[in-house]
Amino acid sequence: MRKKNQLASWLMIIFLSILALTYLFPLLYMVFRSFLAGEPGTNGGAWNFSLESYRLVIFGGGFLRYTINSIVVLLVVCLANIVFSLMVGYAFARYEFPFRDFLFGVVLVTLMIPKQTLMVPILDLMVKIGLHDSLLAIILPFCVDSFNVFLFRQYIHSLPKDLEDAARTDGASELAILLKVVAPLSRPAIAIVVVNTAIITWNAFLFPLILIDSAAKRTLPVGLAMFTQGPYSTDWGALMAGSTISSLPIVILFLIFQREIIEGITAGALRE
Amino acid sequence: MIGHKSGKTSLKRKSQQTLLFLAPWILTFLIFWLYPLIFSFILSFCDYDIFHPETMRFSGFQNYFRLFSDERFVQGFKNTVFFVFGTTPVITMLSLCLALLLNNIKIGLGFFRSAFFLPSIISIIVVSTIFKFFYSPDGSLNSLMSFFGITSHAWLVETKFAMPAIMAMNIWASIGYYMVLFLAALKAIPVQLYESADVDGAGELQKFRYITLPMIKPMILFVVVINTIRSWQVFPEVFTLTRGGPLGTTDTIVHRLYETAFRFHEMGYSSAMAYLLFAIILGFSLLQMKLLETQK
Repeated sequence: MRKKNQLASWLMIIFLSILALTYLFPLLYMVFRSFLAGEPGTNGGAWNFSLESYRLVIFGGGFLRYTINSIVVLLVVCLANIVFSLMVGYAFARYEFPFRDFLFGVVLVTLMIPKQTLMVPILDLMVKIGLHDSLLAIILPFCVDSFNVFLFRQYIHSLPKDLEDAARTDGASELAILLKVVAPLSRPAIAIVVVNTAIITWNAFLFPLILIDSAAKRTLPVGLAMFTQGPYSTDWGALMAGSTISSLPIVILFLIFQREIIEGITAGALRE
Repeated sequence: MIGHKSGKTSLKRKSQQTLLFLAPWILTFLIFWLYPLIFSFILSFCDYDIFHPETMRFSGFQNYFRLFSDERFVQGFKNTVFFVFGTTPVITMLSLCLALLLNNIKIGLGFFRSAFFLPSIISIIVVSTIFKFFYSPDGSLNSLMSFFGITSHAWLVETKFAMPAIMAMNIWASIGYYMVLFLAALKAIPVQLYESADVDGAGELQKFRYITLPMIKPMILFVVVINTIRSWQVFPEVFTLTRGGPLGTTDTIVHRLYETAFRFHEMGYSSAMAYLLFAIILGFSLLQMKLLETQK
């Protein structure tokens, strides 16, 4: 009986492995194809492995620039969200002030508003204040994410108050309490906020598409989308190299922070 | 007297402190949420070209009436409905099946969960680029089809296939995400329930029908609703793969909105589209809130 169970569980693992491999085939093929130069099979059927496609997209396709832009936006938005969302979440969790519950309700309501409703006025605003076509235009609107505020508020609310009160009697300023007492205790929440924000910011498409005009200021998703429609639209090696470059940082992040990301996604389901 | 005064100043300091901490959100809310919402609401009753603001004029409900007579918008709307109702049930079913499979294994759970989850963190633009290659006339799908003796097609160019091709891609890209949610719900079912069912001699199918299904019902509803909300906003894949073609068969609400605003510069009309989308999504969001409430 036990042997039979073990056999079944091994068969299951083999089945799932085949399934996973099939499921991931498009991504594996993307990486594989990005290292093939030209049309496969033209060289008497042999595969020509080369870095030609990478050279092309990095130096000819502007992907170096796009990657730098994406990293800059990612770092600033993540940092801003750690600091500001933590501050705001802390205020909602700990301070008494008029209309607090109403305002927190407003935070939650913003989660239901589709961003497409806001894009024309935000573009209009950015044009008027001269930030249109700059990285700041795709950073500023996302520095305090409502979902992050919600997450920090819930998390800090569940923490005991004793340490904060002790620091307060010792004469610590509110900012010092936030940075030295609350922030270290909130590390798990910070991790979730960082990975959620990182994935969303790295993959953001709509606002970078409408707020950025010049090629030199594009982020990776917009750069790649434009590249697929440009003169290289059927150079599959180049397209797959561009795709691989666009995915690599987020895949590495995922491999390091799997647990936080899966936890964050389960929590983040609320945001849609 | 002194104590009273210092109490007052500390109260003032305290509210200044609160305001300081709330300031980032208040500013973001006023500038990037409230103002745009009001402005686009006003715009939806106006004719407005963003690059010629001086030509702005009030046009009443005209933009909203136009939505119903605009053939391209109506087509985009129908396509979106088709997309929503074509993908959501399939994604829900497949991701639930996958979660049930993974829930059974004793070793390697973390590995398989990550493997199936991986595509959902990849940018939809990357996914679209891969599938553009996959669907191309000389791409892998046709090679695979010819292996089974099926004729080649230009999947993204033929009106019959373009939308289903985008939907299939979307299903592929979404399954892992919802699987993770289902797996979390399955893991939360108390083991005792199954143990006592074993004692009563219940079969696997009975256990699924009378324990698993009722226990994860809230998650199923939740997944259906959030997936529906997402699907109404389908856009980047259309933008990358087809730009709404062939013959408007893959046009969607947000793609029409984008074209209207940024290609034809009709900001007023596009705002009316945005508000229609807002109303639809708000409806589903309220439904979701109700579901969450009944769960508690």
